[in-house]
Amino acid sequence: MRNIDKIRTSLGLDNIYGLYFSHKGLSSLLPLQRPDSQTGLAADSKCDPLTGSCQRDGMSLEPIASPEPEALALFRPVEIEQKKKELNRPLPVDCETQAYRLRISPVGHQVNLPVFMAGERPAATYLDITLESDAEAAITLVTAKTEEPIFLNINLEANSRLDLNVIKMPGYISWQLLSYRAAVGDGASLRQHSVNLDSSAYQAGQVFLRGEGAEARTQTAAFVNSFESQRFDMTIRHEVPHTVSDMFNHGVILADGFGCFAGRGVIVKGAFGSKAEQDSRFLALDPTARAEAYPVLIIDEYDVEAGHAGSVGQMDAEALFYLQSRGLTLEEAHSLITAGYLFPILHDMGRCVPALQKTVAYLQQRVIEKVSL
Amino acid sequence: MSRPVLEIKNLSCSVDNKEILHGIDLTVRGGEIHVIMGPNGTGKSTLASTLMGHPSYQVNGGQALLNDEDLLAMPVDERARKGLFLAMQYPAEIQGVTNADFMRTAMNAKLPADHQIGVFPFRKALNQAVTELEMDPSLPDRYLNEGFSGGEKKRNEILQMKLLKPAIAILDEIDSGLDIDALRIVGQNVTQMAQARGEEMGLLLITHYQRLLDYIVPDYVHVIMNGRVVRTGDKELAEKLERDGYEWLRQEAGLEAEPADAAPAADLLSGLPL
Ligand SMILES: Nc1ncnc2c1ncn2[C@@H]1O[C@H](COP(=O)(O)OP(=O)(O)OP(=O)(O)O)[C@@H](O)[C@H]1O
Ligand SMILES: [Mg+2]
Repeated sequence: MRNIDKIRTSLGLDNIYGLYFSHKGLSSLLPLQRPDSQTGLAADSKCDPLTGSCQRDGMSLEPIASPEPEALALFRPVEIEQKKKELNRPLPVDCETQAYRLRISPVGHQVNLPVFMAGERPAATYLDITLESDAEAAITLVTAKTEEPIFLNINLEANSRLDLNVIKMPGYISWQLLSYRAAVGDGASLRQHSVNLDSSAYQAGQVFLRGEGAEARTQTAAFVNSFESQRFDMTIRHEVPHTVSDMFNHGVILADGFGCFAGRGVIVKGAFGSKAEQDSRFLALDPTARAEAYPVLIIDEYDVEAGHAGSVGQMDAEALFYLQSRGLTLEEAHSLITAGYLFPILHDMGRCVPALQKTVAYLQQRVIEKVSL
Repeated sequence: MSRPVLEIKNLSCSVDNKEILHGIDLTVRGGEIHVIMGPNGTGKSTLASTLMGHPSYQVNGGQALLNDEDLLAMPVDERARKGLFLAMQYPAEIQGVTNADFMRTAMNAKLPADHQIGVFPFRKALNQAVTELEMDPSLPDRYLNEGFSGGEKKRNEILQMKLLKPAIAILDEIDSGLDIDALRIVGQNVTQMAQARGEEMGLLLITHYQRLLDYIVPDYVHVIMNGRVVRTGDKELAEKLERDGYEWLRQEAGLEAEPADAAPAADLLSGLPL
């Protein structure tokens, strides 16, 4: 079985149409039906893997010219020079890209599109994603062993809703750089869930709430292995009244690992009636684990609600005692609490995209394995 | 199951190097219901936590035996598996772990590896207990105690007791925070469980109010003051305390007022460069 098929099966995504970017670029448009072992992949008459274009279920995909360097430069996360040093590796943000435009129109249900990226891609991947008014979609980006950057340029038109899930496939260790920008229109909503249980990663998100009633909720579950580092940099700008944002990040860090959640909630003057919440927490499982949580709020308007919390802590002794007093061994209690630290994000992902129940169950299982050391 | 017995002999212990219990003697046998009363800060929860093995409490002397085994030498989880249960005054909240998942793990912790309880029998037992306690049916699928109201937390402790079937159960202020109906429901459930299990379970209730004893009738009422058992009686003693307060006992026992209030003031001073 090819790795990509293993991944799809593990995540319970093998019956769903998806995009697959491999060492050849966009190498296949995976068919709706699971390939039967005799004939291999069934042909999909609506999609042409040679031109990389596709029309189906409210969705259209076409190749576009690589964006200009100035456009790509916008994906440079803030303070990038400093981060280059900290991360001790180059962040190739103005590199060559293979670019595609994806449009999703309303079809009366949530379009569920997995996007797999695996293998050494020939260039960075740039996806320009538009959800037309009233469209609803869940885009689940699964990355396996692949290191080239990923750029997502997202435009959510009025009253559309995007669930963006970013899953680093457990068991495939590789550095990952993902940077996305999202403009959220009137009454539209972006919900983002990121789950990374293995690899070093740098993820940057810049969300612009541009229409009244626009909403962004972002959640991250990070399990940082020894000697790995995971950084999440999230900025949400409230540019108009009555916009809502909520960042919720939980990370677990092993010995000598490093984790960072930097959240910036910006409410500009005039964006009254807006709400911005942030909650970023790390659980350090060893004294050598390092973590930083910066929940920053920059507010230039009076009539708003905002709250932020950030913490880096150790296992709660009272919680451990409570579980042990019910007969769980210290190790069991430890594992349960550690897993529980990440589960709320997985559970929430499952609530937002019911079609991902199997994916969530798989990730939960991996978390349990990781914490029962 | 044989009749369990918890024997506490001259137990003294301290927290933060301050002695709180100065020699407690108490024996609880299966089939008996004991009640501990006493003013705030006299060491009731300290006794409960020490018996359960909370790491903040140091034993300075004395013994606690569960069925002739040295309880104090066991790690916390072993005490639980030997049949000790503590419904806590302030149960911890644990995010991400559903109540149901936790309960099943806890039940299985007491069972041998080849007799683990399956999902369906477990759900059945759980649902029945939830119904008997008239709890919100969504509570088992919520995270353990997270965002539970005070009363919901207390009921959840009793839910665990019902499923874990302990040999000796200590219920620390299980009545505080309960509304009138919840008090009746919890009281009746505890009594019913005590009757059903007969000599297989002994109960030690810590409470401030006589009203719980309208539903759970005690065999013994003990009063702890200044870290000692100063009086043992029956239900009438609880009624008298409800009427008259603790002052008469304090005088009879020749005790000063609780030093609890004085201590923090002294602590404040101790930090000053005098
Ligand atoms: N973990 C702790 N750290 C510091 N002091 C403690 C701790 N636990 C108990 N104490 C102190 O020990 C004394 C006895 O407390 P305990 O909780 O046992 O009282 P209690 O009898 O249960 O009171 P209440 O009726 O208010 O529940 C108090 O002075 C309390 O402040
Ligand atoms: Mg107490």
